[in-house]
Amino acid sequence: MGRMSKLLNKPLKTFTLYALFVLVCSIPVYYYTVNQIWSAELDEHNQLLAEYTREKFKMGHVNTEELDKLLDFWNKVQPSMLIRPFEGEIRKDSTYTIMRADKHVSYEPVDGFRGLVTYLDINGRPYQLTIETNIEEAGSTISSITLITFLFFLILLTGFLLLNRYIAVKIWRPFQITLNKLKRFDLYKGRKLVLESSGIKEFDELNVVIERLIERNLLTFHTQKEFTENASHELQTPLAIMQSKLDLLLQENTLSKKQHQLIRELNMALARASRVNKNLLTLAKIDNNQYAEVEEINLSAELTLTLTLLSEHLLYKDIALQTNIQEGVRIKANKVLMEILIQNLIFNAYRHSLPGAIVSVSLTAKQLHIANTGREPLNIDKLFKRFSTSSKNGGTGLGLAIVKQVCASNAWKIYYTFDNGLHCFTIDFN
Amino acid sequence: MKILIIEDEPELAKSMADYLSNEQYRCEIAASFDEGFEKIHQFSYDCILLDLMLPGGNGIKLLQALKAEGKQEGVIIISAKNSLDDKLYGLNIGADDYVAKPFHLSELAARVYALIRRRQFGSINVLKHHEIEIDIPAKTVYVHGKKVVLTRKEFDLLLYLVSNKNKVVSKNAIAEHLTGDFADMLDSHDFLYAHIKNIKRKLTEVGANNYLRTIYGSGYKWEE
Repeated sequence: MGRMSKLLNKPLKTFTLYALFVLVCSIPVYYYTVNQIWSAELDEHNQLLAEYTREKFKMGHVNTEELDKLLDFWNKVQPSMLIRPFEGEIRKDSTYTIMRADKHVSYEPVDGFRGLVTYLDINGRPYQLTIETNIEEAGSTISSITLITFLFFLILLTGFLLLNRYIAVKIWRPFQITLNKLKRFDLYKGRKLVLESSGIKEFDELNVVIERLIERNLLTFHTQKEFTENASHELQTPLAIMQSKLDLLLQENTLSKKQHQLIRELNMALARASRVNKNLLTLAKIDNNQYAEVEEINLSAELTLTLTLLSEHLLYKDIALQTNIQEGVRIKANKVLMEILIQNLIFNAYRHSLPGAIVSVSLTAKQLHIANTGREPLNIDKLFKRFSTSSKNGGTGLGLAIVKQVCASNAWKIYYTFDNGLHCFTIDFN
Repeated sequence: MKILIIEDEPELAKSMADYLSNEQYRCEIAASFDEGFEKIHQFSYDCILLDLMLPGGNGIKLLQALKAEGKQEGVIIISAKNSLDDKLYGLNIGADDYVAKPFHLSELAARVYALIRRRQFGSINVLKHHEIEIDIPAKTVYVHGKKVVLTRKEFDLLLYLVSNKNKVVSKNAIAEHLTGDFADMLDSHDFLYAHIKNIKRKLTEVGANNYLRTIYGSGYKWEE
């Protein structure tokens, strides 16, 4: 599985990128706007100054010489205002922006200025009036705007994350409820799934569809279960008839050796058919939850009893038994199922062992471990499936399926391993 | 002795009657609930074999009716259900034994005869066969009055074969009788041979005739 991201994180990423894009684009717009306002304000300011100066010069009457001296002095003390005699064609007022060093201020190498060039008439002579006002330079304006913009971006991002988390919890709650119910749903329990209405259209639609789907599944499951059970029951009678007829046939006095052999083989095959049928019925009953009654079982004693019953057969097959059974291990389970489980596992080990093999059984409060000598690992994928294991050893192909089903109904974990030439079946009870 | 077989499957009923009938036992068949009810009501039997799923009603009801009438017949339930609940319920309301389908006729016969003997003789239940005496409650065997020490399995096996006197009992049937559910899981019946050999040896050692015959590897027969 690749890296997974939550559904809500996807729009979050897009939204964040979009916000970043908009904010970055806003920087030049802000700058341009601020600059325009500044310039307009300063131009107005300069214009007012010029008007004021013009008025003042109109009122005072000085001769030209005095005026020149005065202007010289003026220009020295008023660096932002320069009045010079002008010769040439008088043009319209003009404004400009300039970057230059400020002679009077040493801490900044270059400053921005907004200037106004206008013309005065003093004593009938034309003068050029230049007014310059310090303006914030482009660089510092841009960096201020950028800084603020990024600050806002950070606030947005934090807000997005928090809101996203809040929405995820709140909006997706019905979805989470449905998901949790689905996770806990067990077809084998046969109970209907009830999903409550959340008031959100999409989720309610989803719930309705899921409920319908599960209902259909349950129906199929019930039908299948019933079919298995009915089929097994129906088969019992013909199997019983066949068995009885074979038993009667065996009583005929004129049977040849060959016929006896045939009857023996028929008996074996019939026994196997009965066994498959019985196991199918057991599985159907487990699926039907017909073994729900639980009691405390002395597992150590049960295990020892089964091994005692088996000991004679182990001896005939020359199989060595190694046991390590902790005394007094008790477990809560259905007694019938527990017996079936133990018998299936132990007899499985016995049946699949060749003469000279070892069967080992160990039990602790936590684990049951049954192993037997084997040649090569078994196919784990098929091992516990119904009818998937080969039945060449006279098995029914259902023994381990039953074991697995018993484990599942008790929430125990069963697993198979093959190491050191041993088939190992382990059940974790916790 | 009279045995009533209440079973709706005619072929199975016929087989049972065929196997169980001999000079000592006579079998009657009832194929439905009503027929069974009528027979139980009118006659008395030594043993009733009762199928539970009958046309016209559940066999359990017949059993209840029987007990309500205070009849003393021994009842063996024969059921296809093989369900523990049915078994326990049946035994609780007064059935004496329970056999699940499919079964071996030899197993059924052993149970029927055991039930009849138990009801007939109680604690002095000794089965005699020429010089051999089998004390069933005490689980001991005497030959010419001398005690023969048999293991529990050997005793069970001997009793099983004697109960099916003059009948060939298949190895499958014996294995199932001796090991119960385990027989399903055993891959060979070789272990029987050792038990049979031991029985023969132990009986002949104390002077009994050999009545036990091996039939072509398919089974064993206890002969008169």
